[in-house]
Amino acid sequence: MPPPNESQRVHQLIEQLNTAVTNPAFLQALRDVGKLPEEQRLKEAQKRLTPKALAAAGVSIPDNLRISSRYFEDPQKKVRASLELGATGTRPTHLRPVNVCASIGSIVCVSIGADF
Amino acid sequence: MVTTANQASLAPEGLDAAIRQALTEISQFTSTAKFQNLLQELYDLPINDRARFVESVIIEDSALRSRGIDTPQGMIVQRSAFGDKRPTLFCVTKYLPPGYQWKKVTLTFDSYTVPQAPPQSAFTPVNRIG
Repeated sequence: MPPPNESQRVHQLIEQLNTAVTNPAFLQALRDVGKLPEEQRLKEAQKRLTPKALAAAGVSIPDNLRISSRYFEDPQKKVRASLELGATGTRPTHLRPVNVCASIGSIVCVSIGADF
Repeated sequence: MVTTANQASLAPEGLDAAIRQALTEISQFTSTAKFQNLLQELYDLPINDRARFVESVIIEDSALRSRGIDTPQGMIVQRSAFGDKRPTLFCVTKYLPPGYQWKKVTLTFDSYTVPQAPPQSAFTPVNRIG
């Protein structure tokens, strides 16, 4: 079984994420970015899809929401890059650092985590 | 019913339900006893050993099957990297039905909580793991 309250916590994150990413103003900004040629999308996202710009458009942005670019590894790719994560410091937590995200791919990922 | 991108953008209620359903299905998968045992094994490891465990076990279908875990049809267990460089380990991904502006949802497991919260937005190019 998940740790106590983890399922409930994930459910709450899902609700928070849904409220933000289904906001019509957010969808409009996303659509405007998506219309551009691929090489221009990242730059436009930096302008249109920041919490500040979205809040100005009327989107409610909770403190634990993060908007970022994101790379997804090809699961079929068998030769993987080595991965060494150096621990530069941690914050004590008795819960697993878990978050939920909606994404259009590498340009935009909107994530909500309980521990951000 | 086929939903076009334009219709989807005008009907966020459908999008809302699609996101909720996909994430709930992922959460149900990761809440199973066998997957929870896997997570416990992962988080019991020292921080610097977790990435190797992800690479050798969690994103390997055969290793998962040997632990009695069958990834549901339509879900992908994969690694990713965020533009804000948070110490993420792996995620479970599910694509939404075609036609919505959002393409997929994930439930992501990070390694640990960093001292300083990640910036609220970070659009730095990322094209590889690590």
